[in-house]
Amino acid sequence: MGEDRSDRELAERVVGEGDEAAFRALYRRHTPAVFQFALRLVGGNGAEAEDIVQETWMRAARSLGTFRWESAFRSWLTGIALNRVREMARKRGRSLVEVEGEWEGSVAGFGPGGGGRDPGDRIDLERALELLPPGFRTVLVLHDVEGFTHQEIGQRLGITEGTSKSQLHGARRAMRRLLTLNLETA
Amino acid sequence: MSGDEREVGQGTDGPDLNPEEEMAFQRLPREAEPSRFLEERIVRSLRDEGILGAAGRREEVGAGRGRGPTWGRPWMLAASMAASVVLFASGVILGHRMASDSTAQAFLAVREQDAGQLALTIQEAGTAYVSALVALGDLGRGKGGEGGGGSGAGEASAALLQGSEVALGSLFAAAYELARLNPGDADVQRVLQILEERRNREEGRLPESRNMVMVWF
Repeated sequence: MGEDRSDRELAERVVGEGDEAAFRALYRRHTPAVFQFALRLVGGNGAEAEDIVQETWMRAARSLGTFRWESAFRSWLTGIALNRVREMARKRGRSLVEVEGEWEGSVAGFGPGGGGRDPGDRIDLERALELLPPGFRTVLVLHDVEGFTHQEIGQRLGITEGTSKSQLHGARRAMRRLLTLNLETA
Repeated sequence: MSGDEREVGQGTDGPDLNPEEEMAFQRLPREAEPSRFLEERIVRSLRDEGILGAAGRREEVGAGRGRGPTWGRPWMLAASMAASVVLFASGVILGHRMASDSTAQAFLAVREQDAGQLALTIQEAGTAYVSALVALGDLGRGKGGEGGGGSGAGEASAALLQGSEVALGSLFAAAYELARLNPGDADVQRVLQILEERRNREEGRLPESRNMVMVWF
């Protein structure tokens, strides 16, 4: 079931009847996008991304009845997933706001002609995203991949628009550096 | 979400993306498939929390993705419950045989349970029986659906076939016992008849008398 039913109809069946088939239809419709989103935010760690997706669906299912359908269902899900990413970063004592100067030092290993790999071996954009520090990666994914505005990023990450812009600037510089330099370590 | 702040940049050193970079971002995949076990993990957790119930489970099992027979039908439900009895009894008997080497004692152990205990064991074994079949189906579909067609898919097909045969055998035995238990129940008799005809067809012989004896050990 589910292909021809709207998200709202399916959600109402889940809330009203505990309908498992309706839930599975919702899950199959939205999970690939939410999983990809989570996967990018955590730098390609599949197990971690699955944990985020699981927690996202658990939270969504618990509060489906209070969702007011003023935004798209998938946006709501990605918002929950993003909150989960923030919580995980907080638990690990990591900030999602990077200081560009600090990161510059940490990429000392990435340099022209760096050993360990073929000198002509360039990394692709996906790999560069994985290698970015979490704060830069988060803003870059939200803005340049998912299309969020700085205002939306600010609201969702609890930062100012100005901070979002400066983070994006730093993130793009870092990404370009990764894309143009050879990778020293796999 | 909107892309209203996205502009084509001035160059690789500028703050904005240049056209090549924009294209590279646009080409990134927007979807990825998690492991096939994640869905079951989440559904199980939601069931445990009481958010998902049994009604939708029956509908899902019977519809859409071809998970197997329509368990929502009363006669199939009865057959699966009967299969539970046989499976449970078989397990208990095997366990006792291994421990005491006495089949008679094993049968007594099952028979000594009262009606309430038996109903509970029927329910538990039935759930395990159906869950195992669902898992088997998922396994078969997962391996086969990844387009490999290699040895993994072949092993999954073989396991699926073997599991199906075992499940059908248990179902047949259970239907037989259930028919003995409820000789006046026309639906159960019909189930047994269908299963008997299938078994006879597969074994290449004509239907035999209903008065056969099931011997398990």
